[in-house]
Amino acid sequence: MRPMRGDRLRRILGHRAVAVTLALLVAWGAFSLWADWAGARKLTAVELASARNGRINVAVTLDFGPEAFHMMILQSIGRLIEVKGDTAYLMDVPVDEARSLARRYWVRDVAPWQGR
Amino acid sequence: MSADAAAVAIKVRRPWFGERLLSGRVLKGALGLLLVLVAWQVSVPLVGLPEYFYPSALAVWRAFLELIRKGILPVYVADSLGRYVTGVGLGTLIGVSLGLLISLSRTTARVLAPLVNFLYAIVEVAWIPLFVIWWGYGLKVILVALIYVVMFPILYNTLVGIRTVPQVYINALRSLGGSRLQVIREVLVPAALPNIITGFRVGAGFAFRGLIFSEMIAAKTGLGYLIFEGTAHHQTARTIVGMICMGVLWLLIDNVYLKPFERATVERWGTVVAAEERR
Repeated sequence: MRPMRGDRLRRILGHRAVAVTLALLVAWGAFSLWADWAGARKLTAVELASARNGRINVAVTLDFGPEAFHMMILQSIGRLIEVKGDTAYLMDVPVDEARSLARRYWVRDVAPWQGR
Repeated sequence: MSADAAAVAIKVRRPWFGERLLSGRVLKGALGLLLVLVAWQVSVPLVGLPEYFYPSALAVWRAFLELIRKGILPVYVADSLGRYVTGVGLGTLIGVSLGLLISLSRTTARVLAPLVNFLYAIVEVAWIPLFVIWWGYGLKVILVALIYVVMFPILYNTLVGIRTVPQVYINALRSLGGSRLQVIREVLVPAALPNIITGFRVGAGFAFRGLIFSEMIAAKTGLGYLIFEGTAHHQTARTIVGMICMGVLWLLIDNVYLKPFERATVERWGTVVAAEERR
């Protein structure tokens, strides 16, 4: 006898690989939503309005002194001017990159900076 | 298969995680792990070696939390997994396609089989320095190394699988007017599938090792790089975190994806009627 559509769906979802993949996707989706929300709080639309030609100077504050891993990311999105304690100062960061930097959970704050 | 054996090969429901937890198997495993961790932690002051030489279990745990807090570990794990999936996927595609192409002609298969066997024996570790000379450091070298590692077990097993298909099946389909494509689709591929899956699982296991090694040499992110960088900067606890992550990831990939996939394929296409967990 051919199984009903509901039974088939239940059987597929009962499969360990499918269940784990779905759980991972849901967790990833939830994390992305949270990162969007948290990112928008760190770098608000008002702050982004100070951008000129789609670029902005920012002071990026972490909860710790940046390591080589963080420096590589910061250098890849703009001109890294200096690092003072837990804060890195960047110039000419594209607005989209600044937004995506603010989404990262290890970034405490991203604030506009007048630059040098 | 005899009638008795067929009667024995009944499908037994695999107990779910909660049932196994209650039955004590998972608890016993956790207890064993806990004992190892306690022995490790207690041994550190007794041995009296500096932390970079022999870090404690707690130091490794602290390094793990720090790597997560700083956003390093999630990125490294994601990068390694991305490379792994891409390399294994491409290697599988190339391995199966080449295996099918080569085995279509008996003469080609006879000529190329020793070469395939020869290349299969040369481990990827030996190739990586050469790959670096050809393509420099970066993703390309890692992917080529992974494709190489995955491709040969699959290619070899595809050749073996197709070679062992009884000629009578091919003749039967041919005599019914089946085309060459139908012979491939209806006879050769299904018959070789258990071998291909075995090759895939072997290749996927080798690829994990190849990934870590190639990341040590040619990457700036990933678990292999974490292991290498930790040692280079005397952050041995980070190296151990990388090693543990590697082991846990492999266990997850093998138990969640590879083993069930192999079991399902062998049950569907192989000679086993119901391959049950023998636990």
